[in-house]
Amino acid sequence: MKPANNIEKAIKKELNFSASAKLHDRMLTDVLNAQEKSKKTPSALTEPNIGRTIMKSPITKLAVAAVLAVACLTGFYMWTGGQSGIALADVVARMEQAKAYACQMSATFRNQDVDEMPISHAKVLIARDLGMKTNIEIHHPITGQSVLQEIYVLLPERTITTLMPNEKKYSQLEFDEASFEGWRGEYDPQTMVKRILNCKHTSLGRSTIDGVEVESFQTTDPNFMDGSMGEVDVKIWAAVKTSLPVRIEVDKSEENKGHLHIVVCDFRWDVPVDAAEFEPVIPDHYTPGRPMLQILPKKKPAADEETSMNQEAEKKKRAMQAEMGMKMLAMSKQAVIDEEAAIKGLKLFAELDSSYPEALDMPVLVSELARIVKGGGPSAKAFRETIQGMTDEEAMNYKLETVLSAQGLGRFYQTLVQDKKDPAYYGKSVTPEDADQVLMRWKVSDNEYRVIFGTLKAETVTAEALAELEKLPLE
Amino acid sequence: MIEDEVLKWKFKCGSKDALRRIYEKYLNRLLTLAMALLNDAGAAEDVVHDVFVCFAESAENFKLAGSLKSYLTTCVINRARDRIRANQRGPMRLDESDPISSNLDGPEHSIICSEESQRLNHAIAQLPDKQREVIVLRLKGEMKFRDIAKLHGVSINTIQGRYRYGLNKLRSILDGEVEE
Repeated sequence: MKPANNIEKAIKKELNFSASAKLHDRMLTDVLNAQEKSKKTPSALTEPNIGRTIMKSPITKLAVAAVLAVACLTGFYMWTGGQSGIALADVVARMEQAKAYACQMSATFRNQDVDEMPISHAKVLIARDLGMKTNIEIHHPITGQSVLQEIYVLLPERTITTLMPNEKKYSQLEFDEASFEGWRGEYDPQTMVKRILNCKHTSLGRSTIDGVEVESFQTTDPNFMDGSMGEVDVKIWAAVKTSLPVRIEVDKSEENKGHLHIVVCDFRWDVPVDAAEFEPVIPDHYTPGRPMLQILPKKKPAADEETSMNQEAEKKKRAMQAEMGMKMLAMSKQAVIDEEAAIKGLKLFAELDSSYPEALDMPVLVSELARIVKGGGPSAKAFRETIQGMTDEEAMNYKLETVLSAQGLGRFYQTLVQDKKDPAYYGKSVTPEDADQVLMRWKVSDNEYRVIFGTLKAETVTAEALAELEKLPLE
Repeated sequence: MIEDEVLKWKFKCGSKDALRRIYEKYLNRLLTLAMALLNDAGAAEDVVHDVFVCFAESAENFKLAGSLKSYLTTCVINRARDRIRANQRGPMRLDESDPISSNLDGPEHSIICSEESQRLNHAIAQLPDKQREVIVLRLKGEMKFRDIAKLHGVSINTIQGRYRYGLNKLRSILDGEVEE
């Protein structure tokens, strides 16, 4: 009598049917015709590109854009409205009197699938003679963790220092003369005044915020910020009594993509400043690194045609990155996080690197993935070659999907930890060839564990059986 | 998996080549599944044809999450089950339907298989419907017992029981053939 497992093997291996050449061709013709008929609208290939690379963390760029834009917005109270009770000259004069001020900025995102979620929150201190100090907390959609950065833009030294407490790293950059001028051109409030003066705006009348009488203004001029933010809705509330801004809001919406909302508030004008606050202290154990969020001064370009094209490209790139950040947030929130997602993530690493990640912490997963796809392995090369043959959007989406697969794995493990399911992971020692060794496991009931083996087969076993299984990898 | 991810994106973007590649990659797998479930070459061909045509028409609304293989497999299973339900007699037996051809019979036939495949399918076709379906979904659909249980709306123990009984019966059928 045939053992049952022989029958199983026979069905798996021997039971196969195939289409004749005639059937193959006939059916293929029908299928391709069906596709052709269904093409009623232009394909996604013709839609605008929304980003070049996920590995450069576009959501970070979005957060940067939000923060930097808001930093610039601190000069937005210089509105020219002739109907306003606040004269621009008064505001400019009042602003110039303020030697230092502090404020808080926050950026949030939402779309039809995602409730309002934070992207970044920053505390900013600006001193006219010293520079800008920003403490920013970025809520990273990939890792699900908050990342802190302390950024010092020091005008006298013309340096930017970034401290990264999470990674125990720091970065220091010097402005050269041209970069410094470029930075001034982009962030100096006086320059901002001129830019805003060129924008069409309307007065929204007077109201009260926290007991302070304010006058508000709005612009939706697409030329705002030289158009680098695309279509935005900017509102500012300035105190009637002091002519100083009380609140600023920026809304950027993209149909079917989402809504970015930036708020600047809690202004404190003429705050006393200790110069020591603008002296970054780099702990001895910090090592040099590349910041996740970096304010890189750009050299002020010469006004020739080529440069103009570069500026256009840069502007377009910024817009694409912002849009991609929105898309990523939405996809990340919609992703189903379960065992299947975890196996998909593990399979991704097995296919790309013939091994599993050493740990399932989100930052480790993301950096491992970046290392692998930049590496020299055949799968990594194939990955890059595949991307090279794609349009920008296809490549971006492909990378996005890849990162989200890794993210699914990390998030599933995080959930197991949070739910105290007694999870364990042995990626350091178990390989994709290890059929009998436990790669990952977690508790599913009082005496049962779910186990994913090295070959990614999943099984539920008793606690006693698990103990036996785990002997090998743990030895 | 990575290739499938690329194919999905390209297909969604309207690529004809991607659709052709998906078709060629999964055609025989889906035909096998349909044949094992229905044991009727004409019906299996219709099911797979309809699945691919619907898939081709769905590019714009195609959900990108999940595995392409699982998606197509589930489409075939659902259509095959609909067909089985619609046919009160259940799937046709080999002796009731047009005999499928072996690969030795020439290219004029639509679906080709080896003698061993034909023998196995003949045996599977003799199983009660529920047992046959579990065995096919498990071994050719590569589905988990948990998912099969969900599909049938019964407990996992019931499904595992059907699987076990089905295998035992298959063993008897195949051993009987040998003895004959």
